[in-house]
Amino acid sequence: MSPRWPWQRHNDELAEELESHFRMALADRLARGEDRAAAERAVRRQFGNRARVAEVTRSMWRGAAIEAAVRPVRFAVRRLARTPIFAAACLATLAVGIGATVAIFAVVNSILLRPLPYPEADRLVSILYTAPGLGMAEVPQSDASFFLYHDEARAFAGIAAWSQQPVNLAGDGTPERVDGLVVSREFFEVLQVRMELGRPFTDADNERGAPLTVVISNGLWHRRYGGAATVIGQTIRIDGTAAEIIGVAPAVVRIGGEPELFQPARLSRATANSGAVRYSVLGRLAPEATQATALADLARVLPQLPERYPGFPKAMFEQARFAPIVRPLKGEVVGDIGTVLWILLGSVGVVLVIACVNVGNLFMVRAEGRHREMAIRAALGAGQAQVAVHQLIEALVLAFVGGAIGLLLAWGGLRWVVALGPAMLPRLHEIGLDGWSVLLAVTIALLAGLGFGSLSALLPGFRPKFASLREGARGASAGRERHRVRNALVVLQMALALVLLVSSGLLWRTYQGLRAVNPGFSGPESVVTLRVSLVGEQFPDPAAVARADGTIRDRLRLVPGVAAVGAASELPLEGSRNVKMFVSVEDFPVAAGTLPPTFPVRWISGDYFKALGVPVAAGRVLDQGDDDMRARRAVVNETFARQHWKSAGEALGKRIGIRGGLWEIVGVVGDVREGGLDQDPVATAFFPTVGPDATPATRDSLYATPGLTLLVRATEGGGSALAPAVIRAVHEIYPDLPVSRVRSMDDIAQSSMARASFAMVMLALAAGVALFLGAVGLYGVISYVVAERTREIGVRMALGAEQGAISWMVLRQGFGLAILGIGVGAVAARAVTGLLTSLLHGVGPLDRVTFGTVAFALLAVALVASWLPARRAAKVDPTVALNAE
Amino acid sequence: MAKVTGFRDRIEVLQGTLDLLILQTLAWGPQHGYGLSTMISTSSGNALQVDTGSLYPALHRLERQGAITAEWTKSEHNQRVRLYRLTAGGRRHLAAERSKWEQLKEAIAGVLTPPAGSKA
Repeated sequence: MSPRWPWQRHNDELAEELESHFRMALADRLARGEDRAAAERAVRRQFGNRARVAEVTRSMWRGAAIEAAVRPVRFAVRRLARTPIFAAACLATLAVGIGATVAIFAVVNSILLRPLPYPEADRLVSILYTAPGLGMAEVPQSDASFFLYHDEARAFAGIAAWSQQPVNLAGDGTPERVDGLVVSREFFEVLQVRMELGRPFTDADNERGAPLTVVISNGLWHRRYGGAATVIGQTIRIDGTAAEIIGVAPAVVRIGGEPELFQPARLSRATANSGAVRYSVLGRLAPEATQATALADLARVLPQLPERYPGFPKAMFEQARFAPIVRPLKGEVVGDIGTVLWILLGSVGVVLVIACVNVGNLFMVRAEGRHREMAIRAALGAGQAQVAVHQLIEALVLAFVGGAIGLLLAWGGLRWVVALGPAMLPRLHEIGLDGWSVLLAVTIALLAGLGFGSLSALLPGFRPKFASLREGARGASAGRERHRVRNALVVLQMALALVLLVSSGLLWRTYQGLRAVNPGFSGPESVVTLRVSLVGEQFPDPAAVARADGTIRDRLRLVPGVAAVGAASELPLEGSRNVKMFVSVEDFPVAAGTLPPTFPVRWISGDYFKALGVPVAAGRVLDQGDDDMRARRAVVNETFARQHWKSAGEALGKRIGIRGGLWEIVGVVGDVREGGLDQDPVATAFFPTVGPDATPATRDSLYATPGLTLLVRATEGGGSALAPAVIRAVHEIYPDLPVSRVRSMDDIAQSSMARASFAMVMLALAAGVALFLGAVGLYGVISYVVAERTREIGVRMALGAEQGAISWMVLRQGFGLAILGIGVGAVAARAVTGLLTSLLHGVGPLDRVTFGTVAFALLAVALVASWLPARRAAKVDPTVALNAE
Repeated sequence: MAKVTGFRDRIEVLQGTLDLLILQTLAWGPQHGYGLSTMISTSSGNALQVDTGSLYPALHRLERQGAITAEWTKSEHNQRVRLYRLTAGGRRHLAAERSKWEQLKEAIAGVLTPPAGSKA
């Protein structure tokens, strides 16, 4: 039988009591000679409804039980209300500490810890190549490798390929450009998601030549179709092609950003090419497989690739040393934000510790203030245990109320963050408080409450004693142990504050360093960039795309205030999608059958360099005149020139080869940080995008993507002011063409620093709070010491001590603690800042300037925090001090 | 609340007087619930009958307030019964209730007795 709870026992007893009443009443009537049936009836009538009687009776003690639990809490609240400043200080400190910790934990939990929102998401992996022979750490997959894995690998329950494919939507409603994916048939199946509406893709959808069918996202469904079920079967124009909507994907499908439209990839084994490395592959591990066995399985299969599919010849394939990579899909979704978040969690944890130390200090000071009260209570017969329990309940009440406020703060803060929608936080819509966050808040509150509550009761020298009645009255010096504990706490606070200050200082130096970095182009604020996608019936082939590119640029040059217009395949500082290609250099031939080196390549048209503001190092830049690609003129950057020749000038007239053709270098341009402000420039080659005169032969050999980023430089002032006129001008020529991602180069530079600035701001906040709390802690302790020593100071002054000497005596103590704290903190910081290395740029983790500045600043704050009480000490009036009490 | 049943000349027990009746009865000695109800009705000449729906909540409330205590014992018929006993606090409570009752009685009597000099 299960153990009976106290209230169940109580119920049983009540039932028994009523039963005995009933039996006795019956027995009496029977004894009086009534017949049994009549007697029972009479008793029952007299008794009334027994269940109701029991219920009313129970209500008497149920209320009692609640009251028994509530009474001590009520007393605690009443006692706390008598010291409102103390209570408010504790609550505010705890609420901020717990709130910040819980909020950051919720972010970490939502982004890093919680599995992706798919069934058995821990079995989902993404598959890539690494190619050390090409100097590439990561290479995407090709349709050929996808088919090879799909057909031959045994460690997977399913494998799917996908690729990002933004599209222009038209047909019904306003034309817009949305992010989208092309996916192989297995995509939704591998993720194991059910369509919100309609059906996923079938093999028939993936047949080449079949009418185009698409799946739209939940978001697009609601935005464009108001969530109507009739959307299935409707026609939508995708990049000018009519397509039937067959399904609505659930909101959880967030892979490759926030795709809103899914098209069938229509891959075919017949045309697969191992050189077409533009797909991402995701797989679901088979039940018995692990990441390691899956990796081994792929490594076993991969060598068959050059034999099975055209593309890389076997020799090249081996020279490149292609090898598979298998890693959790979550890493793909989460990206490199993990380090920042863990560091943040660590720093708010430190703030929480500092906050708790402060509250603990407040408790100790108050406990000492109440020393006499406690002693009197103890003398009047309140047991030590009872006094301790009161303290504990007060502490727990404070901790839990503080925790509750903290949870509210965290909830509000998270909603704010989500509403703000920082682009750098993945899985943004999954961020929120969950059971774990609440559990964390409760746990912290409980531990903190128990800690504060027992601090005063357990620490030596705090127990109320009869002696205190005299001791307190005569103001004898406090116990040494008490001081030692409090001093140790202040040193701890100072040390932790220093660690956070150093960390945020290093990030600040990184940020400042990045701001000072020369991106390689000038006047970014005057340049506005916008993206257009020249797809659909209007632009049937690359020549048409090129003509349209030229037409748009010609029109934009006529917009008043425009100085130069250029276009490029990709913008600088956005190197995440940096394309590397084989580029041979005529002067440095490689042996036959081996691979030429790879370099990042950019395709440009119009006055790209002029619009961006890139200086010329030698020769001239490509301009409108070079759009004629029959001339085959190219430009390289300084690093490229220096890597191959002695000087930039020597590169002029040399020839480089790409995809078979040789191109003459007509100019060398300054280095631009293509990969981001924190990435050093690398050797890069620039070719003109395919020109309007491209023949079928030349256009296939070069770049012909319809996705185009236009750069427009204003003659003066901010480029953003030009944006409306520029967009109007584009729409004058192509009314239905969506224009997306309108940003100034300055915005792009800012977002290149987003991670560094985010980490810096957050850490600076944490460090600021830590510094403030640490200063308050030091101030509190020194003030208390002064108050305690008032009599002693009075005696000293009466005996002729100078005011300065008294101030110095107090100041020295504060300084001593601060210096000790700074010393301990410096040692701790040395150990900790190594963790920041991946976030730092241009500054080492042990940067002396940062350490020195922070130590000095902390010392200055400590000086102020000790000086205020020191001044008070110097103003002690000996007569008052000696006559007190 | 308690009410008198079964007889035509029944008396409505005033709010609050049940506590007095219970405490007074227990002053004679410890008693269980059934014993209390029979004693109250016998000593009032069957004029007052306390129903169980009022008696037990009152007993448990008084117990919680500390006026009485309870313990399980065997009755004379060898039945397990819950025996209630007056505490020192209960005695003080009883004295207070009694004096309140006396004041109330006199006050009511004062109202019911025609004042001297009036034509009744």
